[in-house]
Amino acid sequence: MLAPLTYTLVVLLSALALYAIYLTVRGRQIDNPMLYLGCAAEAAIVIQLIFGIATAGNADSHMSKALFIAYLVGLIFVLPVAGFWAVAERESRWGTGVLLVATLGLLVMVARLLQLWNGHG
Amino acid sequence: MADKTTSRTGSGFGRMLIAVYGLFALAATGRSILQLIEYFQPGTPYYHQGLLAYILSAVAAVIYIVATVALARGDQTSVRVARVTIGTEMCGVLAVGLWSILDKAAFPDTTVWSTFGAGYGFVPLVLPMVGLWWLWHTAHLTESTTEPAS
Repeated sequence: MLAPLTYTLVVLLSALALYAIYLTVRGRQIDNPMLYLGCAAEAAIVIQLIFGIATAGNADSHMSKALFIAYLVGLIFVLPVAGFWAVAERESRWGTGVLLVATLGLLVMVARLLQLWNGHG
Repeated sequence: MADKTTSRTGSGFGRMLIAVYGLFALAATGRSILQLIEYFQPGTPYYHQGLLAYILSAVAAVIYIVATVALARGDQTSVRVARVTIGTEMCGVLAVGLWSILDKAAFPDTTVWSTFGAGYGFVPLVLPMVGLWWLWHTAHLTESTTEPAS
């Protein structure tokens, strides 16, 4: 797992989470900046998947490769599903609330991914 | 199908609540599958003592999945199903939480509900409370606005 890539992902997800909090508190809908941030985060997740699979052999020897790849693949689906779920809720603030939940979930999953990588599975 | 009452529990705040339930359905199912795979591998150290935790993990996973779907559907039957599953979830978190503290040996491997969901930021403890409140809240709304008499 490439460290700069993981940091980029964490920064993007944190930015997305903070922006989602801002929009939810203000009662606003999903807007373009959020869409771009979401797409950037999703792109980073896809790149992470490719690098993750390619370099899974370099991880701590205690790491379960299957579990690591299951996490990587799982990460890919969270934002698209959440986006789909959020789009139907455009009259209220809770559409962005859905994305906030998804982003926080992703941050936890990335943290777990790092734990796995370092052998604290 | 998709009239106002069917989406009551699934719209507004409910949409975010369902997202949290969905996330926990995913987390609990993942953990349960992992534990079951481990359990059926020969030579597993906690072959006997882990069984209880594994069963409880599976039960929790099923409850989260059913609650997610029931809340999302939101029709009369689903609301009833949601009430039962989320009520069970509440009891489960409290019972397993207490049990796992009193008898640590029974839970060598953790479940989502161990020590009141501390491993998940205590969200599993708060979630059923919010869920039950939301069901009560939406039922209340339906009664006062749309239901003529039964």
